Amino acid sequence: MIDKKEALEILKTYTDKDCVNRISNFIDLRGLASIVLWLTNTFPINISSISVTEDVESSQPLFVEIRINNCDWEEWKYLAKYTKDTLNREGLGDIAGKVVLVCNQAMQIS
Amino acid sequence: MQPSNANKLKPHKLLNYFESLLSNSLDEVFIRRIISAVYFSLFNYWSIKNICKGNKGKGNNNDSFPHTQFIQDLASSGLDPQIYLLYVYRVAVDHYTLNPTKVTLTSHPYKGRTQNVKIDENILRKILESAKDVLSFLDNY
Repeated sequence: MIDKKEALEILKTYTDKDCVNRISNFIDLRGLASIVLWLTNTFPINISSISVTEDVESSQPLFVEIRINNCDWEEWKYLAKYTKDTLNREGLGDIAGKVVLVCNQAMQIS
Repeated sequence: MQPSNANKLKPHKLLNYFESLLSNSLDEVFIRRIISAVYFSLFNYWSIKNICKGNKGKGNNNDSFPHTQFIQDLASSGLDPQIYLLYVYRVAVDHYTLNPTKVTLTSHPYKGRTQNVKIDENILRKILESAKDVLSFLDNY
């Protein structure tokens, strides 16, 4: 497992300090950074940003969004399933539920 | 209290009915209400499945479950595209008035993260397709 300093360095590539602080109240930063590292080492993907989505009614954090560029709906489905199956297999089911992969282009449905 | 029966809240018939309405030139009011109903019919089905499994929610009858847990359960199983689409559009149709519009996903001071949405029959078709995926997962939940 990477240490906290490394985790912060990785996450700051994709988000700002305020958001990292917000994320740290919701999810283990080292776990999140490990997922980011694993994603970029496993798939030919480009992560554009990381942010927290909050419940519109309660303002409580719902999940951490990892935004990915250049993938379509089917690729998104495959990526999400493969990633979450891997996390669950590794005993990281809790973090799997708190992270949502979002493909920017696939959400531009017309 | 009566024993819980998940079959009472199975949304299969409702989703099939909504599918049958596609290509009928539905107006925006219909599309908005259908999207909201789809989301909450899945949520109700997930809730009663939890009760059947012996999980306890809040309230006098332990039958009120947080929808954060619903979303996280689906995300945990890898249904990220389906639940993200359902969630964003459910927020759009119930909380926003203009169409197309931008849904803000974070509160102050983290404003800025938004998602463009356009409420039309194309998105309804995609939402019903996603709901079917979620349903397959919930049937075996």
